[in-house]
Amino acid sequence: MHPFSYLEADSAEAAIRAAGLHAGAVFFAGGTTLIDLMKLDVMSPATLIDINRLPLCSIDADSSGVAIGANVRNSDLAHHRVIRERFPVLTEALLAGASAQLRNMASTAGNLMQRTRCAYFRDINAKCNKREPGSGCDAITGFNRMHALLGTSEHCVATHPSDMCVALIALDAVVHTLLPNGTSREIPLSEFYLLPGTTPDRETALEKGELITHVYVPDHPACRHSHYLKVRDRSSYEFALTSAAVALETEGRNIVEARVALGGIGTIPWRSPVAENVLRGQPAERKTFEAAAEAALAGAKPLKHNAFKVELAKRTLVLALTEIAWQQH
Amino acid sequence: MATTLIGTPVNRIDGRKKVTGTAQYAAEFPLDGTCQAVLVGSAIAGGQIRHLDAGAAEQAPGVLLVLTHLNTGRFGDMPDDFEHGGTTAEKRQPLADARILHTGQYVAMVVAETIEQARYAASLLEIDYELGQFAVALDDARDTAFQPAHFMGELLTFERGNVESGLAAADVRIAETYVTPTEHPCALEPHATIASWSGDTLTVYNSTQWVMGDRVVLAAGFKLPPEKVRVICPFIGGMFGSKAATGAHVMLAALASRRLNRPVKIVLSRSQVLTDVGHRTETVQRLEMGARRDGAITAVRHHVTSHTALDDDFTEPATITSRMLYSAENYASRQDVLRLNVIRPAWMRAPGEAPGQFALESALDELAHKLGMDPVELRRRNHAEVNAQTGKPFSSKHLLECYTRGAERFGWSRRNPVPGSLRDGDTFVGSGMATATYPGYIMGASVRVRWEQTASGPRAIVSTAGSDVGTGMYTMLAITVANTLGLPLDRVTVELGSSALPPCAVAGGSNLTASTAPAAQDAAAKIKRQLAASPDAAFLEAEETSQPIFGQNDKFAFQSFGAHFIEVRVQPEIGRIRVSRVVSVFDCGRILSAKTTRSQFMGGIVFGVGAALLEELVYDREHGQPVNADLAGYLVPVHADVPEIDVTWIDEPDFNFNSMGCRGVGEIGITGVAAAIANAVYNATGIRVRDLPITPDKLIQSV
Repeated sequence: MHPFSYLEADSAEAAIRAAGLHAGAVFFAGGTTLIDLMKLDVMSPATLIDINRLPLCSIDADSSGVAIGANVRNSDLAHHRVIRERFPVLTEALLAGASAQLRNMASTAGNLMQRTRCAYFRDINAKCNKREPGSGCDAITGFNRMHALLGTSEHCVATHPSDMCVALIALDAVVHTLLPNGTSREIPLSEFYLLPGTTPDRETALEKGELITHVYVPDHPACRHSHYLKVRDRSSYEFALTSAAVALETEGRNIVEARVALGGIGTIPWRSPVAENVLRGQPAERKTFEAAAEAALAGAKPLKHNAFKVELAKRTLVLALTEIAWQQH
Repeated sequence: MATTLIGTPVNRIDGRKKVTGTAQYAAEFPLDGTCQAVLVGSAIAGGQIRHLDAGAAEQAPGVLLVLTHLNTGRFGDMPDDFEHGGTTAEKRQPLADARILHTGQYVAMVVAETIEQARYAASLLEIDYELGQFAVALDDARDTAFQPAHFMGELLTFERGNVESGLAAADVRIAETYVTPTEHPCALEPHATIASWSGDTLTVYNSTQWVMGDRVVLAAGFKLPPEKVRVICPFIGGMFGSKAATGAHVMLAALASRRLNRPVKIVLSRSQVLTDVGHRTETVQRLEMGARRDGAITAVRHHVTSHTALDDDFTEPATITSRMLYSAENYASRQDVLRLNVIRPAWMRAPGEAPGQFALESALDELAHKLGMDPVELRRRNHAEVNAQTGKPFSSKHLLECYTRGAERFGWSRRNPVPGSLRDGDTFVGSGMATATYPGYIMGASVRVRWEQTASGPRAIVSTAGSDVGTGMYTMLAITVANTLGLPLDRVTVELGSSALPPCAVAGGSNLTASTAPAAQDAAAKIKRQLAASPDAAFLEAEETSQPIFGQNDKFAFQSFGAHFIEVRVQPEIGRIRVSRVVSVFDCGRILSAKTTRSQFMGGIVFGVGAALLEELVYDREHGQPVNADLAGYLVPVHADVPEIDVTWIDEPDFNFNSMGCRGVGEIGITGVAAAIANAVYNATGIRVRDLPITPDKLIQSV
């Protein structure tokens, strides 16, 4: 661990101002990833700007959607009545992630910003283009059972670890931020994450010093009929091998709206418009679901140890859709 | 003598200390002027250090000392196997030279005023490595194979009878390969040491299962008479074999403390525990077995391949139960060991038995299926009244009762033997069983009991150097002495875990209760007799010693037994397995402390669930390092993985073994669990998984 300085910000404006003044500054919320990586010398920020006192802790809902403050803890979000009733996929995803202790600390924005669990990223003795651009990727030749199938490049195959983000991307969430120049902007979550390409160290569309203030989730009739299914080696406190966030709106037997996102298999939380197109207008039955799963994984590029996840991801999606369709009948 | 306490469910007498945080663990002794150390591990798996520059680290704020191979020097010759009353964890001396034998091998210890300063300085070390050849996979090290001769006096490679003709005489045969991965005990409390010198006297607070063993090693390493070394360990947060040998961190902390003339504290990181503390080796087990139509086993051939480190010999003795557990006239075993670039492997809860029973009890299930015979019935038909290897009668064996009671409590008779026949929605339900077994060991202990009259009535103090590794030694000894002296439990104090106390063997091999309880009872009984002779005595003291027994004496074989019956619920489509019920019955002689014993059995079973479904320390074959060396990556069971566990025991004392009639309980719980789960998965789905752990990928590839 390297020496660092520590500041507490009491307003969003003060936080972005501090970020502009201190080179190598990062925002510090729950710390569940950041402190861990600092202890491993994977991240060595010169300055931590503590944003925990910022008043970004509310969950404000109206009929069109819900705004979730950046500092809302994962456990508070999961158990909020509006989320449980109107966006069950989000509650299920949150509760499928981490442990109760971590969820009590982890914030909404922090979850959006969490780093990959790739063992080579976390080991400073290994080659990793994400940690040290241009150094190479030991994961591609190494043990890659947990690595990504979709969105990979020859520079990086690290999986995005979040469950929450898979649900949020299925829900068309929008990230609201404050820029260092004082203006605000909205970034759809589908544009928030960058594919690794040749620059896996660049993970999000955020600019330097840009602060997430809240996440907006628009309501839609499909959201109430949503579901998160996670397959993992251990029953709890374990990252996904594969997961699926799904939402379905049906009329009679037919699907009128579908949302599909996959976790555990993408370098970013993986929304699958192709699977959604297969589902829309078709009967809610196994054959349709299987066709959607085939479409979702069509571009999968398996590595040496993770090929099983292609089939597992398909089955996870089929089962998630089956469970939510069954719930509606 | 009325026995009022023995076998009753007494609460842990140290429970309050533990839950209120007043129980002191090794890293928690506040010594004035303690400085903090961190260890730095090698970035490469094999080769050597070409150049090491500690200059920047030494100049960093707060740094007091940087030990490397350039300035450490040699320790005195230290014993490196268990036959010398203590052993180092590795043959190689700490920071001995520039050679690198495995990833993570300590290349430096940095000592500073604060832990943050030490960590930062560690990052400033400049080390230039020359990468050499290395192997961390058995397939990359075939040319290093050798056959070790013995394990604790038992031959590892031999034949009795004639296996070929036995197999030829069989009506049904199986020949399968079973694989268990590298596993790690990863106890909750990381390895921790505080070393402090006062003149030429060394005091070491150490998380250890063997204070006397550490004393022997430290005395040898620093060329001191043993009485100049004091090792203290009142509490341990788990060990499971990994804290029996004296690790390099202990020696280096003591050396740094001597150079600085200040106490030095070292706590291994979680990643260092998993990388630099010995693991259970992987095993590849080829098992051939034949049986007649009536179920009688005609021959067993068991060939095990496991690994060791480059400079150290270690054998996971996975053939030690297949040779003795069932009647089989014709038997052959062979153990091959290969050398890998890893830390020296070590004991882990039921070494040998745990992986060996996975293969043997899986194979019996396969045999039962081929014979169309109930798996319990097959085991009954091959029940051994004598140790099949030595021919000695078991001192006390109630395994058949374990089968009967376990089957009844579980409802085994309702099991459908046809795989895949019981469904609940898209979940398949299956049941499996296996035999558990572990030898009876006594490694010897002296226990002192002091009795004194006080204003508030008589009280007793029980003392021995043995460690309570979390198992309930404090409680068990209090029960034993209170019971003999007729004192209330709260009038008995127990002192453990100090080399200044009467000597005691390592807390390993499930031996400590069988070693200490009879000595404690004998000492208390002596005081009772003295009290009868002089009722006005104010203070009395007695010390008694138990003598070692390693699984047998000239008359008997000493062995514990048990049976597991386990139900699983499986969704093969997505590879999800949940253990839904466990019923286990044990035959371990007389149980002295019912509550802590139940916890021990349950802990062993949970260990077995981990081995069956989760645990595997994965080494990167290309780059040589473990890739899941933390508790987020090395998966052990969480609460959600563990169902209700029904544990009972056959409470028959084994007075041929010792005067308390008790055998140990620490290890038997894990043996057989992984096989019972694999057998249940087969019954549920028809999928036979022969390589642990049974992860989702292995199931879905069969669907």
